Amino acid sequence: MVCERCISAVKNTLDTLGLHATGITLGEVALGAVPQEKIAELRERLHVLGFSLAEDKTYLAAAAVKKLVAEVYSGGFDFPAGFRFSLYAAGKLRMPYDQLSALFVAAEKTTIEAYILNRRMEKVKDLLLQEDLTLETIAFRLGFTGKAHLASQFKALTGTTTSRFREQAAPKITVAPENP
Amino acid sequence: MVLHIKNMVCDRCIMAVRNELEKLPLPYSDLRLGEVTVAADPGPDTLQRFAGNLRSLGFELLDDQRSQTVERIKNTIINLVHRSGEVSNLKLSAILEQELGMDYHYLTTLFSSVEAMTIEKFAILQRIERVKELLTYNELALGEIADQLGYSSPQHLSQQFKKTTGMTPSQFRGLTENTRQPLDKLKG
Repeated sequence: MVCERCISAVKNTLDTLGLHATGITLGEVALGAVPQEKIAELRERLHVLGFSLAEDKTYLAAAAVKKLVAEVYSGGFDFPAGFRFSLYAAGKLRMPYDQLSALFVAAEKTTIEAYILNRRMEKVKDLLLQEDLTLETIAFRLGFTGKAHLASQFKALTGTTTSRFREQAAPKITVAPENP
Repeated sequence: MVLHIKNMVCDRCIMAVRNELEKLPLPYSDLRLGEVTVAADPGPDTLQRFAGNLRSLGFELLDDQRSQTVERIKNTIINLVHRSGEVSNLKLSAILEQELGMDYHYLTTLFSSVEAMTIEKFAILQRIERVKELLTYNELALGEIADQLGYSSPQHLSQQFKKTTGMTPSQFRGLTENTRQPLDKLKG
């Protein structure tokens, strides 16, 4: 949107869709809540005029990154040697990583790195509790360099050790011999 | 014959003018920023109605040679900055001479006498406004914006941005109010 005619065109489109804007300026429209179906229609009509919803790209990129993080740190991903999420994401999503980073922060208010740390640790907790896996196996499945790496990151993020965490969540029941 | 229209700066402007041409109706063979080639002389009545409709949209029919030339200079620069995908290696002066087939010295003198600024200043204002637009969309890093607009470095861009707007690109990004201006009404 670069001029008065752009503003008129956008206003007409909103009017046609029965949407009321509280303010229209160059590049921005302030709307109340808009039902999903109307957003799709709005996006279409704006596209015909040569516009696109810029916010969309931000949220779409962030959603794509989150999906990728879920895939990579699912416990079933085959990590190639020297794996780096930044390179993987840039390749898969065909966008320079610093661009992905900026879009992610704009949408999620947190960095991709912080998000990954968080999600990965949640997955570690899941695996620690659900299955009787060794730390080494969990580390391998989630792309850590080894159990020491996992253990130190776990302690740093949660404050406890992996064994204490396992204990607290599912205390082992010792069967005491019956009193004769 | 070619009619020259002032203040057309984007595709929506073209759509708006096309709409008016079809409403009259006024048959035409070509429509671009600043110019419409009509089939035959429309006659004073139609022309007056057209002029009136254009005016209500913020446009203006230009009937003197000097204003028409100035508008063509602006159109060339706006096309270059906002509408072309690639960066040209040529200097602006060379591009304008090529587009308009007139000596650059004549063009600069003419432009400054009609507008309140030099061609250089107009080009800088258009470029900075484009930077503001790209910053608002928050999709490109400053380095990429600098590349897209033909700046030698992001530092050079920041320098010119600060000089023109009074703030750095980061400060602009942090603004809550919208300070963007319509391309046909840019002020330094």
